[in-house]
Amino acid sequence: MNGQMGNAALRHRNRIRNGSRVADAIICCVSAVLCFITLYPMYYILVLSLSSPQAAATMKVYFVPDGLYLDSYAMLVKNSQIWRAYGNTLIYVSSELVLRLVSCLLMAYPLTVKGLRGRKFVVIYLLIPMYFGGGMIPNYLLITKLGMYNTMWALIIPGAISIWHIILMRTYLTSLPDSLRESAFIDGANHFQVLAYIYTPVVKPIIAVISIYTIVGVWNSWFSSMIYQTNTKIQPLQMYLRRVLVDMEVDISSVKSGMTMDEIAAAVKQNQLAHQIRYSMIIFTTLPVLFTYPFFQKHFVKGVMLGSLKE
Amino acid sequence: MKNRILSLVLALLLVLSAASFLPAAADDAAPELLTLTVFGPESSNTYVHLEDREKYPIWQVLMDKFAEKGVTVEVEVVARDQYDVAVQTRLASGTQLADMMNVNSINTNDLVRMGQQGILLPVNTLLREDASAFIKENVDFMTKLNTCYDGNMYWFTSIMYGTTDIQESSPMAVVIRQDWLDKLGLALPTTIEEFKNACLAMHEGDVNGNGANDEVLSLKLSSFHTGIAQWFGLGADFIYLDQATDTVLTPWYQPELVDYITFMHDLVENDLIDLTTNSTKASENAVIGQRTYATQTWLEPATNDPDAYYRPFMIENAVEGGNRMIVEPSYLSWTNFAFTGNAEAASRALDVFYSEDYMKLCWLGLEDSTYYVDENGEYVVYDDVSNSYWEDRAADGRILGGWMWGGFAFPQSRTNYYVKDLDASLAKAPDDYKTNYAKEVIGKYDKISTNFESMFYAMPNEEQSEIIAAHQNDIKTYSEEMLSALILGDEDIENLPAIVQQLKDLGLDDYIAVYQQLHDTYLTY
Repeated sequence: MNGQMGNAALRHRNRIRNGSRVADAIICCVSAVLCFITLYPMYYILVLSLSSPQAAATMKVYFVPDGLYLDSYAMLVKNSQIWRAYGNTLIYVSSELVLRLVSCLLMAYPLTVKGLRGRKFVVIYLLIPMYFGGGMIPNYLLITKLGMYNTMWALIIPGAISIWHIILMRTYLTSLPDSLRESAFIDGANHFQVLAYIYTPVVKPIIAVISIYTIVGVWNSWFSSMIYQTNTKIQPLQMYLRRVLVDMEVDISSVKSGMTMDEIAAAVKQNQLAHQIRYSMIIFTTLPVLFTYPFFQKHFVKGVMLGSLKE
Repeated sequence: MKNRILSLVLALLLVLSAASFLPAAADDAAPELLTLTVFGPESSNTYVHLEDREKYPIWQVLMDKFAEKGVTVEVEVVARDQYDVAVQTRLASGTQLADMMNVNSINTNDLVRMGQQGILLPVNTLLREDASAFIKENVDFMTKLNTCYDGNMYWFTSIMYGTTDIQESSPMAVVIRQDWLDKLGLALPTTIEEFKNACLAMHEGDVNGNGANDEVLSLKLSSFHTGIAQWFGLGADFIYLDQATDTVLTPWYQPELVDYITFMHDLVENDLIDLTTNSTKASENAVIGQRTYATQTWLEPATNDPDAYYRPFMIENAVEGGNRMIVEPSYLSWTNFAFTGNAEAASRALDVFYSEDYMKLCWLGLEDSTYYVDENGEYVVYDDVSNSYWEDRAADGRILGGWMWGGFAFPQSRTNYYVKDLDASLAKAPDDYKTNYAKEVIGKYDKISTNFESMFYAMPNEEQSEIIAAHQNDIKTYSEEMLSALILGDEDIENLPAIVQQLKDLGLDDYIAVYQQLHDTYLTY
């Protein structure tokens, strides 16, 4: 009796009343603040990129662009190096995406086959390098000895296999009922046919998750290129962006070294434009990833929620 | 018949013997061609790039100079932002090593270690007669400054060879907005009180007219290299060389430090010093003054104000024993390069780098293209090269070699020996007042602190290196933190003795003693 009363009291204390306006208001406020904190930096960069170069140089433009200045975007569009870097990044993203999805499916499927000899050993064998890397210099030696230094393969091949994504794929495949596979076997299918015609169509959510992780990851990566690629013609977009943002190595605007006052004044304006270009470039290079998200969102949410509920 | 056969045999022998001499004659004319691989960063010039080197006539002339010595050069260029990582990774892994590399980002202790492990070749063993004679005659200081304790020099450097005459050096000064002084009807300050009052008048009077009291001095509080510190007779770093007495000292032991901190704190209390990081004050036209080269001409355009003028000046006798000025010497050794292999080609390359012809390519370019020799025998760079757009020169190919490779893939080589008439040369400078000021003050102050102090110390031995490595970061960091804290008022000036004691506990005296030894060694050269 006491126990029942205690449970009732506990339920009462923990009860969240549906439709509480106060709770809704607090949740809305907190959400709004979180949204603002998340979105404002990006918006701030957008505002700076659209403001006049003088205003952008002072960084004292906060919510509305000071003037509307699109010349920096025009200069970016005309810059051939950016387009080359864009093209390189698209090659890296697409090739790594395809290779990684294929490797994930091909490696994860056997690990779900019950009775496969050495399955646990293979899983442990995969887990160890997932947690412990060899370090930069051994990796560098490996890439150079394999003859991939300063080639596109230096980024594509190491990125083709992601153990973390293989584990994700394996977990998803394990959640599928065995009866699905067994019924296919009864109909005469072999393992390759089961994987290609039965499993692949039903693993779209996890493919979407791995795809978005891969696309965002590859799109934002620059360090491997920094180490393995000294040829700027094969470097990805983020290396170019880094060069402009961090080192101001690339002065896209044509700043001159004139000595007369008029020319110097013009040069100063150009210099300010060079600063503003950094903001425009951040927006310019981020847009493709932002546009990618909506296409994967439906499957992505389902895939990320994988395993969160036990029924 | 016998005679005919004999004649034929003799003729054949004659031809064969003549042919056997031909290769030997060719060998005498040109040495065997060796290939030297070079790894270096891209030029910092906005328009003239090493990647485009083949389009410049001066590059072909340089390659011809190498070819005369029997060397073919293959250059691998890497973007500047990436180069340090690339060279460090290659040296750490021991792979992808070029015969010659720019190793300026590697600290000298590591270079010595790599030299002793045999990864780097000792340059002193590679110097042949030509390069040795040139170095001995012109840049003797380069070998002295870079020879380590085992007697080897594992790297060679860019060189600026001038004289030790202080008159040819570059003075630094505090500069102040002359146009703002004029606007407020103020005279150039001659005392520290007048200086503070002038700054206050500019700050409180909103002299830039933007509606905010944002006019400030741009000074780094954690550094002694403020120019103002030198008015108080302080050195320019946490240890410094007093060239008048050849003694290594520290500002922390100078009694004038209290006056300096008190004065700077007063400026901070009156909001007269910019305390923001990544300041945009220059582009906001809000910088009253700062420490810079006396002859600079680049601050004014950055203000966006066509009337802006930064005037160099000195406040004399701010304290007794003050009046110090920071000066850059006219002879320099900087940017380290090293050889990792191919000794014979390296040796021949040194003959090219340390030659007058190479210096001319770097510093003057090509005769009758970028420079000419006038009636007095003086070398003169054409006006449209020395005073022109790099963009235009990149387009027509009339560049100086130093723009493209100096200090990047190859060493820079410069001199002021060719400026025979210094007064005439200075008269061509863009700002007569600043130039005259520099000429006037440079010999005026008898106690000189210098920028580039490394030019006056010998290379440390193993034990000295260990002492430097053990103390340097701790002392430097603590010194910077405490100097800022004292000026900002976060630390009470009454705590100064305790702070000095803490610096001693961190090894300041040992550190000074090592540098005194290094300077004493330098003086024996």
